[in-house]
Amino acid sequence: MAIKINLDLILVKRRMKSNELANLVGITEQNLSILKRGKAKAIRFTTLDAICKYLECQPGDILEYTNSTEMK
Amino acid sequence: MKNILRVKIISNWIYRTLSIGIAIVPIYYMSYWYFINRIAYPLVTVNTSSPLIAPHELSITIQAAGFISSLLPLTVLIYVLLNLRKIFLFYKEGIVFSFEHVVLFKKTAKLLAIWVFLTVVYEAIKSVLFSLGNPVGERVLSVEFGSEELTVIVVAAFVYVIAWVMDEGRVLADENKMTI
Repeated sequence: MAIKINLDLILVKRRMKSNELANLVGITEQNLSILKRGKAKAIRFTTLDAICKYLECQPGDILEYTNSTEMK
Repeated sequence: MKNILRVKIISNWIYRTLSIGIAIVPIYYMSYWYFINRIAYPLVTVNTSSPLIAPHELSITIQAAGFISSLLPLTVLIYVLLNLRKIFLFYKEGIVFSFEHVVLFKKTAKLLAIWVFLTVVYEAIKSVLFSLGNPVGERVLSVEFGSEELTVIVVAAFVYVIAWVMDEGRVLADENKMTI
């Protein structure tokens, strides 16, 4: 998929652990891990809203579109 | 979540009923052939619509042959009940959509169709066995395919279509699992 998830980067910048964010957002650690690894097929707006709220960031900070053909 | 709870509770009861059925069905078939001479004459002709069968006692050989011929539809029927029980075992555990469900529904549909065919054959064999006591020239081979058999075939077709629906449900459930 061309959408890259930069959640790890933001978590380091905000000095927050994955399990802390998972608890705040109200999702399981396993689901957060699926999201971080780019294995998720979709993200709910409510989840994205909660992540941005607790990490004090914009959706664009977490989600990045990379066109792999252009990079080549 | 209420629906899932309801599914689990009802499926538990159905699972237990099917478990009892799996035990009772072979006992019924065995008892039918074992006690056939000790019960009222009409039982010899039950499910065989031929009026030409003269009432008589069946020999042990014919009883054994009858029981052996009943093993064909009996085996398939037990397999159908086992498949259904497995489906309801999954429902009992709250697993509603899975690949195993699709496979089980398809298997059940095919087995129901096979069961209808074997039942027709079994009933035909029964008519021969029951009429062996008739005088020569009055023995009967009755092959019947009626509304009961057609109903089961239609149900088998419905179950096969349900398998396709379950497959779509499985795809949606898998996508939902990967939606954060």
